[in-house]
Amino acid sequence: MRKSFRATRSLHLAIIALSFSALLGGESKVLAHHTYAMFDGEHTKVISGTVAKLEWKNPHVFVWVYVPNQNTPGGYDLWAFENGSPSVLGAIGWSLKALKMGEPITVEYWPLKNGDKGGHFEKATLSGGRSLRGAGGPGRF
Amino acid sequence: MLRNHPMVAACAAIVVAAGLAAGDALAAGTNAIRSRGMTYDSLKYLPDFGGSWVPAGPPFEPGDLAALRATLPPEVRPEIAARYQEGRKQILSGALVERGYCEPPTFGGRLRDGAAGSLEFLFTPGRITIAVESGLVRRIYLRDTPPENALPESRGGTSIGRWEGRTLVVETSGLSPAAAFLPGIALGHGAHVVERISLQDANTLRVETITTAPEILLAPLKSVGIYRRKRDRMFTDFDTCVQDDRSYDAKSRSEQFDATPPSDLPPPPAH
Repeated sequence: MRKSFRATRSLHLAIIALSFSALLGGESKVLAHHTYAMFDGEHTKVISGTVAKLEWKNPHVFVWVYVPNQNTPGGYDLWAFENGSPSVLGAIGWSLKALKMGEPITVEYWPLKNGDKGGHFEKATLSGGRSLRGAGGPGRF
Repeated sequence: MLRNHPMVAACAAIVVAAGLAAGDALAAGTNAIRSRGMTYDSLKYLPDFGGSWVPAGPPFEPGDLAALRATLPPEVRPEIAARYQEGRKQILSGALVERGYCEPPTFGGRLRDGAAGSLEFLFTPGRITIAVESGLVRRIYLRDTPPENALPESRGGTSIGRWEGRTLVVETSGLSPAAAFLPGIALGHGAHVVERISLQDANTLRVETITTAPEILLAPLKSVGIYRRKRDRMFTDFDTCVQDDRSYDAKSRSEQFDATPPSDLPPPPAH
């Protein structure tokens, strides 16, 4: 099963994009990896569950969380949270071992505009009061 | 007289020999200092640029990245600034999917505000190499003029350097006109960059840059980049263009949020 939220583009905008890209031509990492337009940066939501997996990869680290839901057959929903790059996260206290599978976690996030179970990681609180700040996202662009 | 006093003669010989040795060492040291960076022995006289240098400020440190990116310096030509702001507006709205980051990394006239990752310096005789986590590698030749066979244009440009006291001065020309000075702003022809790189304190690196780019700038632009030393930081590839990017669909060439679970996702907790 593959879920996706795709930005719509008109021909007019495609022409603008081509012009912009042609002018650019070089390193553009300074701006952002992508637009973050799929996230609602005006609202922060909070959800709690347990860490399913820390997917440590370029260009974005993903945090996967099992959230209890008695209305689903397995008793859990799987939520996905996009985060910054390993390079940036590594500089602000993250590592491959920053999260342990099964560890309780409360995630503050910018939700997906389409209502799917996911969003952009803003920050998280873990057991013992430990907290982790995320990187990237609509509020930080 | 010395013939009659063998001990005195021996001592005198030792003193003379020691003096000559010390003189040789002093001369060698002086030469090494004069030719700093040109021989392995002389590298020890250079300032310590070792370790990984992480950019100060956002996104590596808390700060208002949006504000940083929203404002351009007044040296940028007005028509160029307008084009930049229009492109930025399109990107922020989601209307423009910009994939310029899939181009090979290119030196666009100044070390970035941080988003290209940390830096590492490698000192070898006659050469200094700067590796950036984005993949850009800059080669700085310690000489007065560019090598005769230098390319007229290249992704890193042609950099020559010299030590002025404890400051590394780098002059770069031969930059690619298509290199991005900022997103949507290519450097254009005739760009020239002078960087003064020094230790501001024991663990802070200061990079003062003067960028001349007549096609996009009204006047030479002065900027300062600050980096903090992390000796134990693991160099981390900063790849923004990958095959299995969850935020980009290569088929439709549009952004996405791919929530396909990882194949090795552990099962949910047992009830």
